[in-house]
Amino acid sequence: MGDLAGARVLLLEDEFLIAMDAEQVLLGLGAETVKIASTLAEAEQLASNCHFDAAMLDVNINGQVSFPLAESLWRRGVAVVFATGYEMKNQPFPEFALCVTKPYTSADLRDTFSMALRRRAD
Amino acid sequence: MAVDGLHSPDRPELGAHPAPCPVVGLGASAGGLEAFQNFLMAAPPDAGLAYVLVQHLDPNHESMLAELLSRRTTMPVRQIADGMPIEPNHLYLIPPNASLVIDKGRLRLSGFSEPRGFRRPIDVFFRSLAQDQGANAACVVLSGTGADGSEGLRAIKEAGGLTLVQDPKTAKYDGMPKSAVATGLVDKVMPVGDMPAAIRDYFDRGHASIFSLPDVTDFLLAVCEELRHRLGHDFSQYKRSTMMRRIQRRMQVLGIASPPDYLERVREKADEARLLFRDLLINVTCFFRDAEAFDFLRREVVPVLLRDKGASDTIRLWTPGCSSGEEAYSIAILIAEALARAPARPTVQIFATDIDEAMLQKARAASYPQSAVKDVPIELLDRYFYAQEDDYVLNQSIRDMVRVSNHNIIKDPPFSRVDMIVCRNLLIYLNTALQQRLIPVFHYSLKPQGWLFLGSAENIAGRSDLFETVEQTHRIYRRRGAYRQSVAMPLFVEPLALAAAASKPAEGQRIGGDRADAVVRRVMERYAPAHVVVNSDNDVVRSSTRTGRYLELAEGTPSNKITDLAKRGLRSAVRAVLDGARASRKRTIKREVRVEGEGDAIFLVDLNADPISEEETLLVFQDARTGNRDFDDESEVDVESYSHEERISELEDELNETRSRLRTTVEELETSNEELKSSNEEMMSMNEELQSANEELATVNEELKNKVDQLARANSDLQNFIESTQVPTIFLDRKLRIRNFTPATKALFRFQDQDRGRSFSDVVSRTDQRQLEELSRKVLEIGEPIEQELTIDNGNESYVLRVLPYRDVNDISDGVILVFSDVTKIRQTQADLARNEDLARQRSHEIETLYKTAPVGMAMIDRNRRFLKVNRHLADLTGHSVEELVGRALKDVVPVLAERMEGPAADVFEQGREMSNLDATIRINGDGARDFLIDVYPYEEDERVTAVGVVLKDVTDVRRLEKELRRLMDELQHRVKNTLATVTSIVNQTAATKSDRADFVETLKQRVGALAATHNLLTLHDWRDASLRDILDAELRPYTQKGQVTINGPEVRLPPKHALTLTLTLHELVTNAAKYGALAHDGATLSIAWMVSVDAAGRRLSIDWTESSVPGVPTKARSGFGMKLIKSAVGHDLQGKCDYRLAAGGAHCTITVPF
Repeated sequence: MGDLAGARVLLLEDEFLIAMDAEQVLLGLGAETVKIASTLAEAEQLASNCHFDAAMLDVNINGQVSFPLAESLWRRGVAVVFATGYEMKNQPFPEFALCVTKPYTSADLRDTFSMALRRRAD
Repeated sequence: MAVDGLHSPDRPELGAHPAPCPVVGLGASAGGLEAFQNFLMAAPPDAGLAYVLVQHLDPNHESMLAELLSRRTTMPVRQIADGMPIEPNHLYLIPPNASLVIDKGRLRLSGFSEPRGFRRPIDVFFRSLAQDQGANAACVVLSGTGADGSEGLRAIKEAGGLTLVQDPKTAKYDGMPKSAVATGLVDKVMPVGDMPAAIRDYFDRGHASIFSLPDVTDFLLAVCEELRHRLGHDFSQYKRSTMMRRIQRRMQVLGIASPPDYLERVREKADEARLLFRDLLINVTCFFRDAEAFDFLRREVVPVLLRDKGASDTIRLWTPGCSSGEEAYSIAILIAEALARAPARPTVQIFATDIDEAMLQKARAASYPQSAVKDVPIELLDRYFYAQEDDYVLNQSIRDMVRVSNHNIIKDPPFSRVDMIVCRNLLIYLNTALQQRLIPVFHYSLKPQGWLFLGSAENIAGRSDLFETVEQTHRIYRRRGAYRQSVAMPLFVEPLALAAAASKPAEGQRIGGDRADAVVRRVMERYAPAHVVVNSDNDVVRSSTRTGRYLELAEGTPSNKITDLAKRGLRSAVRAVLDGARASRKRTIKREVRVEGEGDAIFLVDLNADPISEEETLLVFQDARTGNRDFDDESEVDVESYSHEERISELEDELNETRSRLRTTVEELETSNEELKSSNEEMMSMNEELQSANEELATVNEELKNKVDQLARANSDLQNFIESTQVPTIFLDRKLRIRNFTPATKALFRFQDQDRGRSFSDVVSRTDQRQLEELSRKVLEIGEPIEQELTIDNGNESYVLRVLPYRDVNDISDGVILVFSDVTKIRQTQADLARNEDLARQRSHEIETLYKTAPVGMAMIDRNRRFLKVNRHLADLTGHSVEELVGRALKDVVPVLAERMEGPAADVFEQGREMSNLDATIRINGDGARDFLIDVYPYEEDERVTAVGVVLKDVTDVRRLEKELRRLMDELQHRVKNTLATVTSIVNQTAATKSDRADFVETLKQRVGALAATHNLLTLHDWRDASLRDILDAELRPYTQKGQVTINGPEVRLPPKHALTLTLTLHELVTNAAKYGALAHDGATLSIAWMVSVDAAGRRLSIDWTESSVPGVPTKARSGFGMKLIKSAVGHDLQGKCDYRLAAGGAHCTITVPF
């Protein structure tokens, strides 16, 4: 269970181009579906309606942080990875948080998700 | 050179151990030092005398006398040690706290027996000197208060020594000299300087030897005659040796060597007779002399004397030769003691008699010095004496017992019916014959069994037939016999025929007469019968010898009337014959009158009264036994014819007369008694007045003493004050002479102690003298103080001078006082202060200016939250003026600030904590709220926080900038990060659709370039926003020249995200248009128009992209990343909508974005 093969992934990203790119990378990593939300509200709605295996969340969405959503997802067993454009120490990340910094490579995503999936399993 | 031969045989103990030289005792008290010094200066060191100085010394202090005196003489000066022998030409000094006597020529010290104040060291020494050295001594009484030395001087005189006294006029204190002179026993009174020579001369002369005179008797008699002539006292019976000694002494004192010269002196000078008289009578007595004898009296005699005596009885005592009365009073005391215990109190009369009136006065005064009462037992002293100054005075009760009177025992008839005679140390001065005559007189005078008490060296002259000896040692005798024996009065046994020595008969003339007279006298003396001559009053005017057989003294007051003197049996006969003789003028006889004689014998007497003249009648007594009748019968009247009846009637007449005389006398007596009584009462009341005056005086004295003490103290205080004051002060009198000055004036004036009294202008000073004088004169004139500032030493010293008028106790101006206050320091300090003040003012001004112009708001708030102080800045902030704010409460003016400040202010007031950079965003004034940072700090006064200082810093702008900066930073960071990710994404996406490398690169460059252009635009405006038109312009720049593009729309500024997303979107549209659409074909047009609208949802931007006249438009839109982006980006990034359609003329896109 260490990879995204067949995973349903929630992607929260407010920049279109970055979102496109991330979608591609996730699909490239074997994800079955990638749902894209560009606002926190949208992401929350998606999260409550659908089941996801993993989620990749931008930390900062239009001035809001995605930590509460991340927590609720994690509690529901979703492997959460944060994509951040900031240094990690300035933000009050949840303890389970795993991050990738933009711009990230495919390998970055793969490794981090694998970690997250394993963690979630424990 | 010892003096001998003046040894007194009747006082053998006197001068028994003469010293090797005459001893001169000098006594002094206050003022003695000077007297001693003057004496020593005149005393030759080789006079062969020894001087013993006795002075009243403070027992607690060392005496400097030896040292001081040894400077005045070359004689050795010794302070006396016990046992020191007398050596000639030495000076001996009494040490302090010791009593000095001389014994066997050695000086002896002992402690005092009397308490201090009662000591008479000079008397003590002089008395011992008299006793020890007799005539080998001299005493000198010098200056001093009190009476010490007078008694001692008396002793020296009695012992035959020389007595000198300092002339009271030359003495510093004349008490002692005056007292000594008052004894009347001083040989010479002279100034001290003359004394040494006089003493030396006296002892050098030695005694004039009158013993060598051929006819000493005549000389003595001549002197006695002078004495009798001058003083009425006959000393011819005085003991010869005593007389000679006394006369010799007088001659020695006077420096007269020849007896005729002395006789001349006695005749010429009245006081010489008196001085010799005093010398002859000198008798030192004291109370209870020979205490054992008095004790015997007390035990054995007085009880007997008083036995069986009742209140109606009288006890009579007689003390002839009483001198100053000590013995009479001693007896009185003994008797008073005995009477105190007796059941009954008889009357006691003690007759104290003497011929020395001076001594009698003393006896009457009954006041005695300490030396006289030293043998009185203490309880008797307490009971019968009272102290008065230095003397002891006898109580009235004792004095009332003693009657003092002048009586010559030789001349005057004795007292009769006396119970006791005390006659001590009188007989020794009389010659034997007189002594032998006196004993019978005593016998006569005493009652049967009466007592006789003689002096310790006296006796009854062998008349043991008259007296029995009771106690030989004490010389106490008792009268024998029950009857009186007649005593021939006066007691002259053989009248001294002075006429024989004195009168020089005239040459030849009276020789025959002399002889006849001598014969007649002889017959008269030896052969003529006893007779008297009486006057018409029957007074005896002349008497012959041997009348004693027929005459006697009657009892009671002695009388001179023959009728009283005749023996009892003869009395009436005598009267008869005298009366008869007077009446008949003829000789009248009475024969064979019976008279009591010796024993119980009766003998017969013939009386013969013969008128001699009108006045006088001769009365002859003859024993009738021989029957010698050899009278001529001429005119004899037989008195027998004188009838009894006539006699009786005569007697009766006489009686009546006597009675009436008596009555008159009694009346007169009573009157005078009354007078006496009343004058007595007056006396007593005067006495009381005097006493109370005395009391008052004593009180006044006390007060005066107090005043004097106060004065002394005030003086002392004043002196101390003047000495101690640090202020230069000068006192000038009216004439500007220096009266006084304090020590501190020396700083300014060169005063010396001698300057007191000198004129002020004479003194040197560092000040302007003239100015001071002028000021002083002015003050004297106007009587008001003047103050003036003085500078000296070129202004280095400043003084404030106050010149004040000096007022005396009556408030009259009496001078001026100049007081100098050194104000140098003060002035300097003042100058410094002024300088500091200026400086301070300057600083204060600076600070004030600072405060006012500070770019921050500053204020001070009091505990009531009122503005104490406000600066302009703060005032401006609140929109008020400084004046408007001061005093107003914060909450009234700036309530929001007050609210914000309340907590911090309270903290500051309570805890004194300062706080800084407190945030406050408040709308103080005007439109918007501003941000402030507030500092508060405590302002303390006396450790209490009285106010809070507030500093208000407007940080709104700064904050804004900060915020802006932060925003910028945030944005940049975000952008930077995202941009790289975006570019990566563009790269990826572009790479995914462009396989051709050149195409890839070109497309990439263009896409990234569009982003970059927008970045530039954003940067131009600090990433705030960018203009839509600018974005479009930048995008379309390569294409506008073809004139096919129209851009239309209001100025819209897009935030960064919008700008970027729209840039990307528009870029793709432009690229597409350039590739396939309007921009690729001439004649095609592009129209871009936008607008902003507002509705319920908010603000919306609508952009319309319309391409027209584009040939060959495909019916299907292309796909690919570009198309995706166009359709989705706006929706994704901006939550907007993008509607893309391919119309007939070309692409048509509508973008709607909220913003």
